[in-house]
Amino acid sequence: MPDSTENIHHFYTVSEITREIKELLELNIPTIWVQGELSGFLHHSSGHLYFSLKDKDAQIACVMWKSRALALPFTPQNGIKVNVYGAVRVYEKRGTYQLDILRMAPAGIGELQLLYEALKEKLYSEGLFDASRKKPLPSFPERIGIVTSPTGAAIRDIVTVLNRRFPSVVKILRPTLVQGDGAAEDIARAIEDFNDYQDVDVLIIGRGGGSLEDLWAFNEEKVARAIFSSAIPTISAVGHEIDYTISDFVADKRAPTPSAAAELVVPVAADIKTTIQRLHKRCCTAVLTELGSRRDRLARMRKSYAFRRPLDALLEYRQGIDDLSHVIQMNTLHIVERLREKIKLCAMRIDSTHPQTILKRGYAIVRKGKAATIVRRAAELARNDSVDVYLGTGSFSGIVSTIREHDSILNWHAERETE
Amino acid sequence: MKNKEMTFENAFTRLEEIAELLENGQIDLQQTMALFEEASALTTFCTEKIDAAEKKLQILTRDDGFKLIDEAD
Repeated sequence: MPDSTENIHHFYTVSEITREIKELLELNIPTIWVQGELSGFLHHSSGHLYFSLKDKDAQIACVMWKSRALALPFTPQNGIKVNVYGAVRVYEKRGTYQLDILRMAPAGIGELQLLYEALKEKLYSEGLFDASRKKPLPSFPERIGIVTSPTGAAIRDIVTVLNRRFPSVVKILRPTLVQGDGAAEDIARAIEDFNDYQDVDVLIIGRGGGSLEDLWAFNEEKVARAIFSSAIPTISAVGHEIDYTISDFVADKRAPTPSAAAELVVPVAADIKTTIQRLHKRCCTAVLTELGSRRDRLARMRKSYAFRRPLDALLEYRQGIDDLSHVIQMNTLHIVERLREKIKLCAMRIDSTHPQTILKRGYAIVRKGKAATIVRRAAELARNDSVDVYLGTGSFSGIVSTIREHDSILNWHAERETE
Repeated sequence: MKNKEMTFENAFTRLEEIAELLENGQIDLQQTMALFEEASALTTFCTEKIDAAEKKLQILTRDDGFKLIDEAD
């Protein structure tokens, strides 16, 4: 830099001096690791992260551009001590300097623990762990989606256990980055992929054991939210029994290990086969019992009055017919007898009115002339008429000698007396 | 279920239901025989599903659309 006393009349422009400063800082301070506490954290809508790093005596402005922020393996929180890797950059327009951060990680286990607790508290209060929001796992999944690394121990364990328990189940792996930069992103996307693909009944999301940093992706908010949003029931299976991740709390079911996830997701096929056979046997027994009881009931019914009734009725009917025919027979005889009586009576009555019967009682019929007309009055006759007289038995002919005209037979007697 | 492909879970649940129905015995003979036939069909369906060959691990890929690839051994 030129000596100021020698160039008393030389004026730098603002741009010139800023350029000088920029070169001084940027060329002389290499890319370095800095440790400090996060403050004033701002996740801008552009995706860039703005914050300060501070210790008790100083602070420095920092920026993390979107492209790098995306791969950040944790969600920064104010108050967290972090290690950042970056370079000093001068922002000429404002005349400020800041650290352009390439990588950032919590400064230690303690810091991760703090992050974990803070996120757990936040998601808990939002209701992401609510038991009421948990979906039941299918009893018999036929297609299982797996979100894990294709090269880890987890996928081997899961496939081995699934094949042992229920070999015919369909196993679909979405190869996923499970640790380091971009892991949380990829896990979240894998869960979304399966939800877009749809054709699985349940999801196993996990990885084998590792350090807290190794498992960290499963403590990330984006993973938690992806699990929470999944329409497909989820099982979280991260690390070992003792490891509890945020994913475990959000998932519908937590499995202590990937193998355990496979154990709880499918039953043992042989057991189910036995159960199915038992169910079928129950159906057979029930039907046989039912048929048996129906047969018994039928037999009982046959013996019962109600069932015997038709037969009885038939017998009664037959007997009725017999009775009736008897009645008819009897009646017929009776009727015929009565008819005969009637006919006899009629005959008698007819007999009594027959001329012959009357003649037999002493009357006579007188006919005269060739026409043999019946003579009813003496006046119809003349002296010397020849007449035929019919009697009860036989007849005779004669000549009329005297004619007397009287009203009744009594007068005839009297008239005859006087002759 | 006519429009949807029958799932193992549905078949199993229905089989349990039929066993109960038949055991309660409150149904007429024609229905009993129909249910029994259905139970037999479900048993066959479930048993076939269980006895099906072991499935290889498949890999889900997403490009233009989803694709399943058999895992290379």
